[in-house]
Amino acid sequence: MELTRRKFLTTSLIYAAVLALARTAEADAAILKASELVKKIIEGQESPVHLVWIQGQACSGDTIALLNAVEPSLVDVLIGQVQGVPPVELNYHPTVMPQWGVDHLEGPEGPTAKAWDANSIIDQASSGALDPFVLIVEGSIPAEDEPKAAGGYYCSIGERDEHIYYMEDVLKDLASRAAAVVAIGTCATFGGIPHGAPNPTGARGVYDVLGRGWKSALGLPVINVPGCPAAGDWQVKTLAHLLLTVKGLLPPPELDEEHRPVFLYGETVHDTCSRGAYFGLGQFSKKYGEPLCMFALGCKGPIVHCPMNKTGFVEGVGMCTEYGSPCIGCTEPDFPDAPLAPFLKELPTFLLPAEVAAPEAPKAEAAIAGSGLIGLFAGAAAGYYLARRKEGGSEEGGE
Amino acid sequence: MGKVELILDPITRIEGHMAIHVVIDSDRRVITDAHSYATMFRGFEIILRGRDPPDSIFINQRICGVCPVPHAYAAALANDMALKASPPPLATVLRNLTDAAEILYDHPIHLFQLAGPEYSAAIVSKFNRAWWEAAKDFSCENRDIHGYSTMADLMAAMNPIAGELYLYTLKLERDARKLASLLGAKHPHVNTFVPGGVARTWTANEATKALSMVMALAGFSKLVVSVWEDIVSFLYSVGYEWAGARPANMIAYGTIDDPEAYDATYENMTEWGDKRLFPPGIVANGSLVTHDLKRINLGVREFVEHSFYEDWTGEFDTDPEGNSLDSHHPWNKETKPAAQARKWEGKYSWGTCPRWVDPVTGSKYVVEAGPISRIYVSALAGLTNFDTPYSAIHTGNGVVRVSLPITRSELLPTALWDEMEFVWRVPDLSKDGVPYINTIERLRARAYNHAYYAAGALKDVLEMIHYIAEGKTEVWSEFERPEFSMGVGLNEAARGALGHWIVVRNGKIHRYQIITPTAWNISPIDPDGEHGPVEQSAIDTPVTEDHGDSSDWVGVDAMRVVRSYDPCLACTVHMFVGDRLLRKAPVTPTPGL
Repeated sequence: MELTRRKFLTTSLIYAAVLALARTAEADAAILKASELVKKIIEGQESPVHLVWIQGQACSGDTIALLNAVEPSLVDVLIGQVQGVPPVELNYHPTVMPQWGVDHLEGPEGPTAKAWDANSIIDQASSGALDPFVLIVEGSIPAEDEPKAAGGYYCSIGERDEHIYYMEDVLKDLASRAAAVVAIGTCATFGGIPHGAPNPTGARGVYDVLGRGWKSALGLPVINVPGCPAAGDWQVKTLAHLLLTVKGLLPPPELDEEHRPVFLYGETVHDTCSRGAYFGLGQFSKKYGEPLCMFALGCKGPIVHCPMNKTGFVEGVGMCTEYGSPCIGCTEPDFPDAPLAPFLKELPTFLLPAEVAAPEAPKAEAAIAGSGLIGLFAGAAAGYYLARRKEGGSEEGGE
Repeated sequence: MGKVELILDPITRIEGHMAIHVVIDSDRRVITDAHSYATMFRGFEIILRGRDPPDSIFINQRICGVCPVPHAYAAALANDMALKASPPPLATVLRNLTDAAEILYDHPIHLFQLAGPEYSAAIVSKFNRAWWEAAKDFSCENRDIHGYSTMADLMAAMNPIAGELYLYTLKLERDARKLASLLGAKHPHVNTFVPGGVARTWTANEATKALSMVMALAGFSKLVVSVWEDIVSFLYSVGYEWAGARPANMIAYGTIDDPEAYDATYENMTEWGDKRLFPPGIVANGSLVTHDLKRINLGVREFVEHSFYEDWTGEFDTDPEGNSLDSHHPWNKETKPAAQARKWEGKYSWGTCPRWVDPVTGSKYVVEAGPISRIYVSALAGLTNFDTPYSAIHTGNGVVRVSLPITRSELLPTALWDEMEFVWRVPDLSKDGVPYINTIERLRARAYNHAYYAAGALKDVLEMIHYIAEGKTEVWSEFERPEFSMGVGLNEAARGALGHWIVVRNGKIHRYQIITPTAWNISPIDPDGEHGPVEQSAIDTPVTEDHGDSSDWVGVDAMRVVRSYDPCLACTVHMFVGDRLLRKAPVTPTPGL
């Protein structure tokens, strides 16, 4: 098979998206349109969509998590599970691609060496040779002003002809041509661990590098799929939705104020946790391993938006709070700082959202440390928390 | 001499940002100089300062999304010690199983998806045409197990994305991460490791599921070893033994704790270290210097002469027992980043330079970490010997024997169901009387480690069932947040020795230092002018590319050295003799399945 162009997905993605929508009102129309699309593709009317996946201050956890996805799995996608797919090609992915960087410092460089150089693919995308492409970003982006001034870097993703491929520069360059930009994982979305206080490298998420009001060539904002890492199924579902959007079959996914798809991140961990009932009953685990609500052991579920308890992590296996470990809020912009950290210390109750802390059912009030005042303060507190979030956003927003 | 100078950046199919600079004598076709370096900085050790100590367990595993569990485990060990909490035995068993589950995916992803492509038809036929011709005539010893008659067939199955083995192993690797997620709530980045044990509700329901999953993954080991024994054999047949060769100087901290012996104390570290499934050890020129984990810890040093950091002055003169502590020991280290222009004669890497200095003799060693270090130490130390109905490991006199049981599973072809025994021997490659290791043996060791971990996981599953049966179902012990304490967590990531060092003051993290196996391996030149292990290995590696003239070289041999960095003792030029895989009586599929 041709090595330089990896066949990645996608009818399987379309199927996944259609199946995901199957219970909605749009189902019939979507299936009809999808059928028409596949027909068009088979007739050869569709040009390929390229995927360029770059990694900044990343741990590759999202890439590994992507391998956890099933129905379709990455393998299904790679081998073209469904015939007649609109061709999608993964042109650049540091962890998967066969090529590597090749730069001859002395003498002439032969054509094979030049063609094998991974950096040349970035150059191709930059010059328009891979249009249209979707840019996927994993890892945060450090501020390079200071290192550059000293002749160095915090994050270089390649080198050729004495030119350093700074992550920050490559991102801005490629984003200006990309049909869509998707930030995968909490580092790429919000800065994640590297932006944890005191943020030694000035690490930011993609939407803070490009600007929160930034729009792609297709008019889409940066789409955030946070999680540390984001489960493979969340990644694939978001990309599938986006492909249907790019093809005009679906409106853009509805996003929350942090650019997260609402169909994934619309509910909190607490809302979807089977142990949540114990919260209402005032029954709390006092030791790790006990089967009750873990609020007193540090669980941040009430203020964290994440579908983990509904989707699982690998083929439905793996759930944080269901299994007995406290939610640490890894899908949230503040991760890994307060109020999510300290992870194993109880969330100050004044930060509880009103609907959790000031319940209609009187029992739950007793549940949280039995304080009658909590309900009174909680509404204001939650409002404070949300306001603070917005504030933080506008401070860092854009350039 | 004709000279080719290459910068290979990015090095793909590894985790993270790394590059290597090599100078090649194109007349002799050999690498004459090398600098390996890391090209990204995040500042974990700075971010950790002032935080609640347990947070380090959650934050540190995010250093690496490929191998998070050993980080969680090392941080948990450091926290156990510093926060004075000895986990109940079932908690140690669950940590062990989570760690093993990760290795059972991590070694294969390296062997089949990351380093594997260099040994696939796609790349070999492109850059090593003579090898490709030889592969067509090379008959595979283990064809009955893995199903490929010739090396060319096997290499085609190794092709990225399209090859059968590439695809099939991806599926089994996912099953291993599913096991890790069952135990750890999710993977990558498990959520269950806490000081004093695990945050996981664990009952017989979960136990039976884990048993079934481990059994299938033990069958996976048979595929991993049989495939790589044949590739190793082929590589020796084409004369690749001096690629990536260096003297057998290695470090292993050992890993997988004994649930009864491990008590989280510094005082008893030597004793519980010796009880590990993989024992700790330092190997110098092929001989075991020590297997005392406390002595190994005290000998760790970190230097930054050629790294983008400033030096520091130490804070502590002694360890918790009053033993002398060097200012360059990680308990004393401070991370002071200083980005600057790269200079080969000056600073050129974001990676630091760890070295091991024997606290008894004062001798310094350039040691490498990895599966070869683990299994080599185990073979010399002879401390691991057990038999259970499911698995057995026997070690000593330079030999490791691993027995795996019948593994019937719908996930596995029936050829992988048979009971098998694997025998690993210290390689006998040597130069001027000094034992060497090489690229080939690093790959072989990784495959045998898979079987070793699987045998250990089967033992852990039995122990888990035993504790549940005995009613010993506690998984957590209360921890403190003391005014002052020091902790250390030493274990093994897939890639080798991993160390975490914590100092707690006023109940918060005062200092936290991490030395990863890759830091040992890709370390730059040390203060004495000695190259790090990857650099040493690259130097004198032959250039085998035969697809064009030197202007077209892509550095595939340097890539192989770098990517396959997990050691095994050097083997001599001899061919694989066929006595390493012992297949027991074939299993006949029966209606009783």
